[in-house]
Amino acid sequence: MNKGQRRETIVFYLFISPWIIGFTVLTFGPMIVSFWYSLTEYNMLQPPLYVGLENYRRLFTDDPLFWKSLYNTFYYVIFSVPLSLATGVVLAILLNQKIKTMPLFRTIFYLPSIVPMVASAFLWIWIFNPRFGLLNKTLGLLGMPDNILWLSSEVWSKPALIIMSLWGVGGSMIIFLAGLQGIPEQLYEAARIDGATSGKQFRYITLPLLTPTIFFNLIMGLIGAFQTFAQVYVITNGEGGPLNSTLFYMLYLYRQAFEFFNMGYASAMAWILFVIIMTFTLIQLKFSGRWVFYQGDIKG
Amino acid sequence: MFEKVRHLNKSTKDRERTWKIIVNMILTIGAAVVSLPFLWMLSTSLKTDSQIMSEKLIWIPNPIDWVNYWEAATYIPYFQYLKNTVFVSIISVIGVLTAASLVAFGFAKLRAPGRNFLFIVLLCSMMLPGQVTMIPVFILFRNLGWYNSLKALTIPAFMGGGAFNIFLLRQFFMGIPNEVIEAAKIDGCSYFDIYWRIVLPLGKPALTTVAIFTFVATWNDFMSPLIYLKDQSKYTIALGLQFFQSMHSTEHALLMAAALITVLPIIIIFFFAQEHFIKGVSLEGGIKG
Amino acid sequence: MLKKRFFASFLLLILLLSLTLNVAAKTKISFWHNWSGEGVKAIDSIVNQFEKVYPDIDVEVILTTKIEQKLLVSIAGGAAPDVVLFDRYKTGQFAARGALTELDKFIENSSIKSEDFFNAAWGETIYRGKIYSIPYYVDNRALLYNKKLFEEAGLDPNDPPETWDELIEYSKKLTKYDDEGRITQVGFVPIWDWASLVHYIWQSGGTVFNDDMTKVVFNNEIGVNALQWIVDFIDMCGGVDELISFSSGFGAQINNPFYIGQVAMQSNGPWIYRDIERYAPGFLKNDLRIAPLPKNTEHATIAGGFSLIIPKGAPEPEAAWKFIQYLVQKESQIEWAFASGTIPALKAAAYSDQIMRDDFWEAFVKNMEYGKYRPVHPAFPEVESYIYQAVDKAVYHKMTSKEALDWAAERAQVILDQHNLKIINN
Repeated sequence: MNKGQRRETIVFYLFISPWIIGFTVLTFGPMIVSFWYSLTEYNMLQPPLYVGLENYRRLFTDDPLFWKSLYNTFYYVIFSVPLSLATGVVLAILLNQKIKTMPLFRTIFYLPSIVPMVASAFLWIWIFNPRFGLLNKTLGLLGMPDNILWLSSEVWSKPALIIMSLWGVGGSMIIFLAGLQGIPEQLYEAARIDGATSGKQFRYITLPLLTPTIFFNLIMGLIGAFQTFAQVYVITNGEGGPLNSTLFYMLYLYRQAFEFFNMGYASAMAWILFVIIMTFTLIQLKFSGRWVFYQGDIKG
Repeated sequence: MFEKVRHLNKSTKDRERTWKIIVNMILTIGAAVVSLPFLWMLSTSLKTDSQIMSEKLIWIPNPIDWVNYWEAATYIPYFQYLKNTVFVSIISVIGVLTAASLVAFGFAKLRAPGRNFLFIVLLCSMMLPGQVTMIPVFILFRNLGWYNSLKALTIPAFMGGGAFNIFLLRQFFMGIPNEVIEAAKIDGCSYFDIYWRIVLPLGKPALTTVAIFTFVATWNDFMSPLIYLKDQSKYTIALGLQFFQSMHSTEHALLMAAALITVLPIIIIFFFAQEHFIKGVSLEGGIKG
Repeated sequence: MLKKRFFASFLLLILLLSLTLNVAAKTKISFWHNWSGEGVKAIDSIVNQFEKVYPDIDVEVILTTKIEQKLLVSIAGGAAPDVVLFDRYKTGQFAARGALTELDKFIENSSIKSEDFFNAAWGETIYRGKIYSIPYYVDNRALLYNKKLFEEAGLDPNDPPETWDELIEYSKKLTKYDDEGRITQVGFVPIWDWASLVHYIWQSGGTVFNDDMTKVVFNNEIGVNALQWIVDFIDMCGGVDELISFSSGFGAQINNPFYIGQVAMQSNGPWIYRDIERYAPGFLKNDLRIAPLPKNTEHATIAGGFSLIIPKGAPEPEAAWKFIQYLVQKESQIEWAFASGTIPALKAAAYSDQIMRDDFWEAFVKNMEYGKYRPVHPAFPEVESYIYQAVDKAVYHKMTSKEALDWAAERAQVILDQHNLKIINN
């Protein structure tokens, strides 16, 4: 390594030092500590008591609410992530047209994602109100059944939360929009000259070149959906009812940690969730080679 | 634009026009559906109690109860919360912009052994749920004396600025041609000069994006204030809105009014900044790095 | 002359020094509570009086939410407050984790006597033979009913239901349906408002745990019968879905279903006073009647309320104790309770004319006679959460009453055993 290279190396580490510090202190260190807690009985007041894998054993064999919350969370992830992605892509494509009123439309569609969670949760409690909520009233006008109990129903409470998640799709929509704008205009021009229809352009240019963005949003969406907390916390008053049908994983973890003060148990739950998300992400990464297409691949 | 249109024949032009009309229609209907809940919020915020509980669907309140807005601002120490929220959001934006841009520049434009490995670690850390580290970080902050202090909500922003933001900025900085940087080096610029005089000014759109994402996220953050703040006088708005719900009843009109005045600044910022905002996201090159 | 001036300045210096020393000697204590509105004004006023009586103690009053969670983490972080107004129900949970200061020694050398307080309140301060808190205020649940609706249904408002059977009978007469069979007015719903399976078990002479708190017994015959009674009651009203649908039309404040006659009877506590006074003064004056909750075999109600505690590691426990003693004096008890709309824990204060100012308060103070406290055990909050789940499962007909309670009892027993094992190990 010559002098210049050595200098560049030192400078590189200086530049990334804020992240190194942050990663060590806020991520890596705490990860190790939380793993240690997950092997103990710990209530934050008395010193942790080592119990081996007892917390994990109890979770897997002795705690029906753990499985219930896992089921609820998977249910939510499986429906809300793909639906949000599809909605986000479609919206972004529509919003990528060159129309004068576009800034207004973009703002309107982005708006819901910036309403504070507490307020939007209350708003949706009202929309889902069986008697005078907006949704049942609208269903009634359309001649459909208008007596669904939504958030008070064991069957409909999760679909209700999924509908609610679609309203807040603005954040990923923005990233899709940016992805669309990153597709070189020349490609479309060339296609048009070759006489490709809009449908073909979408199929052979837009979609392939948007795959990195879809992939990015898929991963982010998965991570976010697995960790859903604030809206359920507010809507169900921290309880996850009715009949535990909205007891999501993070809500149960929060209750164990901060209501029953079982920190060791909660840490074990956190680690299990980490492994789950990691597995999902790795599976996605593995299969991403088959469908994600990078422009860099053509260039070089 | 004109350049392009000239290349096209007439039937394509027609088709494009019809397409635009269709898009406009779809968007208008979509926007109506999306903003319905929002208008409902606005309408609720202007209703009296008896109208909120009405069996009929009331869109335009009569009488219009403007007093709700004043009451919302006095029912909770709204301006105190607003002050805290503005403070936390601005400091966080500054912290994230500073830290994330430094780190992103390093990853984008400097070569060093271990760089690729560290970048993969950074990407992996995005997949880590905050809850894995929540409890130990809490205990750490508590030992540092940041518990019940706005420090717990601001200082972390300076420690790297978040993997998501670093990633976003790094992708953008990658797009700055290496020749520009080499030329600056030959002119005798230090690495910091390059970062400060070339990369930062060129990176403005991406920095805007990161700033807005950070601002919105901090403005609406519920979890961290819930965990770290004890004293009600230090609450942020996102947390303080909870006070409209008591054990026995919820002050719906007041809550909606408070929420609306809370999001108004963000709406305005977004409306005017959105052009830059969207340009700033560049995922070309993708996660592969 | 010079000497005189020197002497004068010397004196001044001494004076200044003593002043600063005096300031430095002032003890600062912090007091956490979660009251807003009228309650907080009364607290401020009482704190001012206290600081006049004890000029060497400064009280910093802090209003906060989620008080238990924050208390635990601040004790763990070595930043404990000195006095906390604390949900007495959590005594076992906190005492078992060593979060509270034992008060027995303090009490021995003071004028505070257990018999001066309501039994149901004092009993709840004791965990494994040690006293961990001083009761500040109490509450309980009674049967609140609407006189006008009684008269409309041909029932005598001076003869409220006394037994469970009567409650069903009255409720039937007070429930109305429209032409489509939808509820328009309901008599009584046993799981609404502040009713819990725990007090139905008590009203049948049962308990949640056995006497030494080693076995879960809420799934015995008494418990199953109590839950079955709830399930049958709800089915009689039209089932849980119909009730949810009916209740989703409920308003709040001036449109509260109880004030406007959509609900004829409810199990509720004195905390509703402020709201009724504000939103339905006419109803409060003319139509509201209060009776003890009906009995199966005996009258019983959950008595709850808040206590004053000194956390472990509080910097100034001596000053904190002075403050607590001041807060439970008769006069300060009356002032606070009157302003906040609560019942003082000190019997002499509760039975005073100011507190028993009208029928409402007289009824609730007298109802304390039937008050019982929930088991003081660290496992109880988690066990109770399973009891609630069991009730849900049964009223939604996911399980029979027996199955639901057996399911909950199995979980509860595991939790109870874990905690008991920890207690033995400590």
